Amino acid sequence: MQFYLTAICLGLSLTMLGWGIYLSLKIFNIPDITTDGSYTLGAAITAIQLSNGSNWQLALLFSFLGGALAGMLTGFIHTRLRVNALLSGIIVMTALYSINLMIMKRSNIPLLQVNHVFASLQLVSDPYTNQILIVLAGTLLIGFLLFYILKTDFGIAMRATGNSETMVSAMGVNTNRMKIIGLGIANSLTALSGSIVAQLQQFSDINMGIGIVIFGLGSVMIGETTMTLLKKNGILWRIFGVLFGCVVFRLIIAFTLASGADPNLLKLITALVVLVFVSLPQFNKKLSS
Amino acid sequence: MLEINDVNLTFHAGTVQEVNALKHINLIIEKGSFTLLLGSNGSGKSTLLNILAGTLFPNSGTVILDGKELQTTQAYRRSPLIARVFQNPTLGTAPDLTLLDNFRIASLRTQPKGLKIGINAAFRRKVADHVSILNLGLENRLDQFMGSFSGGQRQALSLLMATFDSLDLLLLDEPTAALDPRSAELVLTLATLIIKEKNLTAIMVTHELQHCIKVGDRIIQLDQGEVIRDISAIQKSSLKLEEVFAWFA
Repeated sequence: MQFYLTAICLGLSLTMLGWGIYLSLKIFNIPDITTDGSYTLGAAITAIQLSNGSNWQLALLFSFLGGALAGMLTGFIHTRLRVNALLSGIIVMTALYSINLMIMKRSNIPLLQVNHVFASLQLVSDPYTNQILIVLAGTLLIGFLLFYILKTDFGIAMRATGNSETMVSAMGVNTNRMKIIGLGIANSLTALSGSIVAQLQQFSDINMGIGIVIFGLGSVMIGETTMTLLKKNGILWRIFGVLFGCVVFRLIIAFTLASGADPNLLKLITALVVLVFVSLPQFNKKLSS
Repeated sequence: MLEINDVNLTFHAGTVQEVNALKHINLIIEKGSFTLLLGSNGSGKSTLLNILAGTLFPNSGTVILDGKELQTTQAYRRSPLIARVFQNPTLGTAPDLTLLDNFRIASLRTQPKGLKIGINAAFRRKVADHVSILNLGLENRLDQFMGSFSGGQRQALSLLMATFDSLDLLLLDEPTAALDPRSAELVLTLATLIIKEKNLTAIMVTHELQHCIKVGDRIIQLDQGEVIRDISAIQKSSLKLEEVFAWFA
């Protein structure tokens, strides 16, 4: 039971990353893989902040800002220098690996005796329940904020930018600026996930972000596919779908590991899960036609 | 008033594919007039429209709308003055947004899109009233995705969206070309009605020669990047369809 609760807690912590991918991929229609770098960036900033005696609020704030900067850089390279979106992300992600090492000054920082959020905030006495409650509250808060932003006039312009660029620029929206802001928000959410996971696992590692983008993509796909099957098209449902996808994905991984699968096969299993959910809509179409 | 002064545009200059898309275009479009821009493929009429919209920029010459020089202004910065209806109905609307969301963006064409929720009961009623003039029952489908409407419905809606907020100039880029005859009729009638009712300055690019008889106050024909015919309202009133056909013989 404890094992699955940990998986749920990790899934919830990664939901902000899922929303980041949802923003870039589904709202802006940009395949942004800065994610691997900005996730670790969040963790690296948090690790160095906390081990220097700073508090978790500042660690979260600086992680958020760092992620925003990384995403805006990708957006700038993509829109102003007119580099393909995927390549822009790869360039920034690659550069971030060195940046993250520069921030951390070594490849791994343990966070045992520091003021991380789970040590500082004691909502209940049981540490595991405490973790889940904090992560759940934080995630729901961010999710609500995201929902609110997407509902505002600015949010409608964001959604329209990814959907019909010609129309939205004829309606007075600077689409380049919009994409830069959008990728900034997406990667700041990703960095928040990195920060929370580092505090949850009590360490930051330079390699912790490798392949995390595929987890995010898979979670978004699980969410989208499920919500489409349930015919829930509202934004709130879609946002919830990503949360659902992140938790389900972590549970699938936990279940696979618990069933005795070789941990070396983890990435293979991850890739297969994503493949299944990405191709599911196609199978659905074939079956119904 | 719209002034187009000595506008030139050359594509692929200095190569074998060099095309002089527009050569020394000089036009004055009066306020409140409805001008038809006619020409065969490659005549430069769409290029001229794109220069007015700000998606293409001239090599030389000026475009002045109500005293403001616009020839180097980006499309999104011109939008407070200029609204546009595209040939392809899918370009003028966002398919994965609801009808209401689409109109919300349209209602803010001349304003910044801020961090407040602008869709409220009053806005809903305003949009419902606005789309009810189409008599298509769309006022009951405000929360439906734009993509679920037919091409004709979307084009009619994108025309309503373009004229939802205030504007100085309406650009119509073959708005009926992609539609079936009935929808084309609906969109054309609606366009004429709105232009007259709001006393708009409008320019419509068209391939349909019948339009020359049915609508508009003035016809400008382009050929190979030059104005070769300029028909005023008085000349136009006695114009016969056969004569228009003869222009293209």
